[in-house]
Amino acid sequence: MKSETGFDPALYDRFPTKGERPEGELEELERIWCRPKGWGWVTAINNNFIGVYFVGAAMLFFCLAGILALLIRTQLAVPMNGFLPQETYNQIFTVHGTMMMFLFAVPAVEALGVVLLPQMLGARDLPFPRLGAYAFWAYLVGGLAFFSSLFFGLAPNGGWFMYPPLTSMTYSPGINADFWLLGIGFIEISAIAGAIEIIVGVLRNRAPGMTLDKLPVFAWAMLIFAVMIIIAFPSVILATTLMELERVFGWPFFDALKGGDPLLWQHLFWFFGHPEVYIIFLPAAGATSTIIAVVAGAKLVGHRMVVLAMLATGFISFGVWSHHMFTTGMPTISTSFFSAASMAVSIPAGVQVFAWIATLAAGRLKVSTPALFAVGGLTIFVMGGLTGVMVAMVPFDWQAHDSYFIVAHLHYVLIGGMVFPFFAALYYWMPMSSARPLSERWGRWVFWLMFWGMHITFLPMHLVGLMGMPRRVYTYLPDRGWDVINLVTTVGAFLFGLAVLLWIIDMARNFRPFGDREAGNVFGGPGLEWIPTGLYSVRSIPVVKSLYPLWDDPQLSKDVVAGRYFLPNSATGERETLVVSALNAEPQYLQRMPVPGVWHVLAAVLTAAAFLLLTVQAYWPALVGAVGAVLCMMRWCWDLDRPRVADMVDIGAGIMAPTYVSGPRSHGWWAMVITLVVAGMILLLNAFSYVFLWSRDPGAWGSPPPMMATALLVAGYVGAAGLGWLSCKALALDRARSPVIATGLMVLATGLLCVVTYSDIQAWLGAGLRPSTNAQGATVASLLVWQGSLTGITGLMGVYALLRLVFGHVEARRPSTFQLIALFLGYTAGQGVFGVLLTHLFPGS
Amino acid sequence: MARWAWMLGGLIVWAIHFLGVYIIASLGDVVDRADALAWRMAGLAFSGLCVAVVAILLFLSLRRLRQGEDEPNWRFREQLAALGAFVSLVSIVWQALPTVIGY
Amino acid sequence: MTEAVPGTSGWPPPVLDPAGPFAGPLNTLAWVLFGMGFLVLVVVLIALGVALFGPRKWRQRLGGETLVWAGGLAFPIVVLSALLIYGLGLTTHLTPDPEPGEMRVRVTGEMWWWRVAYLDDQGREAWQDANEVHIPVGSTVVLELDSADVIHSVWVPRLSGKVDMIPGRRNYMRIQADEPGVYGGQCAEYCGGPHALMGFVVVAHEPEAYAAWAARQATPVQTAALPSPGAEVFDRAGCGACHAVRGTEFNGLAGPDLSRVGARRTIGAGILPNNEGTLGGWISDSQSIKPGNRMPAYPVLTGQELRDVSAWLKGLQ
Repeated sequence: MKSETGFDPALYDRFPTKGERPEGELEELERIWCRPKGWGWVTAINNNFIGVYFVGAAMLFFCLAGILALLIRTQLAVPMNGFLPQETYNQIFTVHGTMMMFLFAVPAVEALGVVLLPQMLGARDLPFPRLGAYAFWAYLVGGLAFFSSLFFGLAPNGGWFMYPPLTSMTYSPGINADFWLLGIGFIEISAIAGAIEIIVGVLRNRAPGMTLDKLPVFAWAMLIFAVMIIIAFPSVILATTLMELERVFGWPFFDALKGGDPLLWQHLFWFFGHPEVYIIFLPAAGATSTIIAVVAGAKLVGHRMVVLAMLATGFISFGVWSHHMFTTGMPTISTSFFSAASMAVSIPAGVQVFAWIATLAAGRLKVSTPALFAVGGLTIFVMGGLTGVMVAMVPFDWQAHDSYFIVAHLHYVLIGGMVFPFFAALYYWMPMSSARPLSERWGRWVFWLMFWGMHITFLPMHLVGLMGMPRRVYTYLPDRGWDVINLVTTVGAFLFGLAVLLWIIDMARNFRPFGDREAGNVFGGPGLEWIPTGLYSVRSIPVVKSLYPLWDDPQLSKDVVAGRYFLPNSATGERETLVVSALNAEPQYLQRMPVPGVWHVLAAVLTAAAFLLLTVQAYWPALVGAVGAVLCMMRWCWDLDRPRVADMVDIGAGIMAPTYVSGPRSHGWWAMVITLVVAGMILLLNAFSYVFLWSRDPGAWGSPPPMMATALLVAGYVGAAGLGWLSCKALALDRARSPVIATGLMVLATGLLCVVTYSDIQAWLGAGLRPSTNAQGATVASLLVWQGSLTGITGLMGVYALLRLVFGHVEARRPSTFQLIALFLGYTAGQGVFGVLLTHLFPGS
Repeated sequence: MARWAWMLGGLIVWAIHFLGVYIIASLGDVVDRADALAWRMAGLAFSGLCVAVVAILLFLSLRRLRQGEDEPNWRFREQLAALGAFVSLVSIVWQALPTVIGY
Repeated sequence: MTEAVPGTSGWPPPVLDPAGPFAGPLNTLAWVLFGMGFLVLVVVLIALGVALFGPRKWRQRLGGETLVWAGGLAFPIVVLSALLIYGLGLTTHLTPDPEPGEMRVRVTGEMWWWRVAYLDDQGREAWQDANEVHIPVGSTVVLELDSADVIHSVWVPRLSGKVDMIPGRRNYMRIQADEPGVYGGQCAEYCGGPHALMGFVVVAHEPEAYAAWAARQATPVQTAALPSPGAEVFDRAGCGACHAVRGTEFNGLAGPDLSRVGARRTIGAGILPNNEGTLGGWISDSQSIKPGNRMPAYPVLTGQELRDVSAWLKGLQ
């Protein structure tokens, strides 16, 4: 067998080790991973805490958005109802959709990943615990502020899709729309932070031997989920930024009068918005695949087909965004492409559904609440999928689009595809975090009320849609024949609400997290997450030899708890976890992990504050908040790349591994590359906007700066990147003056980058470009804004490098910081070159 | 990276194909009409090329599955490659249809 | 309200009750899709039922990868290929290139009503109307769709699927009615405020009746020339600043053209039946009927003034 990293797989045979572990190891682990005392709970970073906070917050937002749904249904129960005024209703339906999508669905599945992944993969924690905690706090503060806008009548009222021009300054002059744009843009940043953590966690922090074919299906789902977030979410971040720029400065991206196009928003929004549906669905499907196998007592039939189906969903879902735009008058041939892709994306869904059915047939269902939710969700999802195939047919969509038929369709898909599996997951994994499982007796009530409530609410909506009832109406006329159906629907919604209420009560009765003891493997699951754990996660990190480790090796749990596998102790006396290779999970090095702290919390609160203050147009306080946030982040980063301890340590059974790795093998490098992919997506979509608006009115495009400027700018950017590269080389030479020279070069590189970006802007101003006059001005300016932002961050990194030198943290044995700065700088320079070439050469003069 | 690319090869070709036909149609729309004959034929030719590539990928991964390899979990990855190529093949053919009947 | 407001409504569901060649095929397609959906749902539920409750032998037969290949890959590929070919062909069939000589009507979406302009052979505006589109039975009418402000969407389910009105773009929609009658329509794209109350009707006449109607539209308003108490109220209250009545000095452009308002089936964009009572109520306090609409309330008008102006408006036919 070839090895991926040079690690000899024969070493795995040393495990489980024989004999007792020395005294005091377990106590040391407990001490190192102990929980912060008292108010210190806010500083917690361990996934056992953050994950539970995260799920809790997501469920809080689910309940709040659910209450809004009940208000909506009350208003629509009878025609011409005066329960909610029009404006309030419009705010409520906007916030309901927005919260369910952005504050519940995505964070909830992300939270599930944070809770489960480390235990499931046999890691001590996710690789960037403080980033995960930051993502959580930012999300919580931002989400609560967003929801509170309702109480002041300041909530957005343009629908969760926020189509311009309705949301432009002309038609929405209040700050309501800004709450959406800044609030949601900000929460997306949190989602991306979580996604980076999950990608690196799944690929690099697995138990040794957990090769791709032994990677649990839920981990696959989370991996694909996170990658999709990285590709899709930059689109909505860019879209909200462009809209905010248009609203504040009048740069015409979407304003048709000045050369913009409202459809640009729709393209950008749905390029995010449709993959979003699958982003939500995949982790839930992964949970279903896991739970169905357990409740049926059989291994998942067609595991590799299910994995492939999820991968295919991940790809194809990026080719279906325009099926939200079949009525916009796009060329027929283009709509047909999207129609075909929308058909194609249902194949993977079918594969999963039949794999679940086959698994149920292969085993014997043991009825339990998770089983009911999983199977019930399956049937609901199938119905939603079938109406999905219907609306993928362009001519049928012309009728169904924006009618209640779609409302029914999307709720079937999302409730069957996400809410039911999520409840199944809550019931199934609750015993892992809580001292007591949830009540099975109550669980039956919750399930059946929710199941029938769901059908009573949404099944009739198909019909009322075909009867002509459009979506997003705050009322309807009495003689339309829609009365009875709407009343029935409202009754169903309250049944659903009752189910959730019962669940909340049961949670209050039985949910006891953070204790010393867990209810344990109530349902007999096969995954590593069911090995008894402490706050340090698994006592020792097992060698995984099967996709169903606990089923195939009944001894495993005992050996792991006895410390007979990798890392039975703390090799460095700090928090730490193993880093493995991505394909075959061969151990590579020991990652030292951070301890609880306050800086990432402060950074999150200050970032949220800065965004909120920006929304209410308090610009100076916002700036103060932003500066504070940056300082906190720098302080938080300061603890990365710490002074080295022992170079090689024993990670178990005498196997030695390094404690410091830099370059492309290191987890930091991976995180940086993923971050740069996010930046690159924003750049590409920016470029798309540029070309798209050009194609709307090529005649209005003016001349670029002269060729000489083009050449100089490109040379400048290349030079900056070169200096960054030289800086790393200088550091690697490891001479006495290396740190000074390397830092000097790096500061020079960042300085040069700033100068070149500034000249880039000046060149365009010199060529007579004004952002608010036409679409060319606006899109070039937005590219420059993006370039300027990254350049600004690079500038901060230059300052950071200088500080590191002053405090003696620059040394040849610790090149990570400099490598990552150089990587970022190199990307920014490359992006600059791309931007210059695109805007100067296309379409040319 | 190469192993990942091989494993996801079919799906990657699908993505390239989708982008390609969409861009070709959009270019057509700017220059002439999205459904002008020349642009449609260009799209069709591109689809044909992608179908051929995916078919080759499918064939190769099936052959490698029969022959076996000397790497851990190769079978799993090869199966993913074959399945992915198959699903992509169907999807690409579907997306080639608009240039013939759906314009 | 005693008389019903003609609109999108009732039984049978208008989507499944087509009245013209641009809606008929959509109805057929809908039934094909319902059939397909029902069939697949039954297959899945039977498979699920067997998997859960079936005899051991049956379950064993289902519990393998064959089911995933057959049900998850082969079955959808066959069904969806057939559907896709049907659907793509239908899309093409329903979006033909424009032909010269087709009757054209320009409909402009405004917050929250519809400006309707009938175009002559040269594409020039012949006369304006609002919230009603009159068409002759049996011939195709092309609607040119514009927007004056935000995105709206035209939906007359019995005649056609919907098409959006997007600022800066012009979309086209074809409708044709096979029988005379009134076909309800509605704005389908959320356009803020009282989007819910933005309806309209399409009225199809026999060709001769349509010709007569069009001829009457083309002539100037007769009753308006006569001085009347209602016209004076209209003038005094400043209604002419927003509304036009052809053949008089009232030539406002912001609101609906009122030249033939008395002949319309509805007022307030498809929400109230048109009679002197509703007209008076609308003028007095349209904001309580349709909150947020662009017409201010006129509480200053006395009962007599309202009756006068309503009678005058109702007389504009």
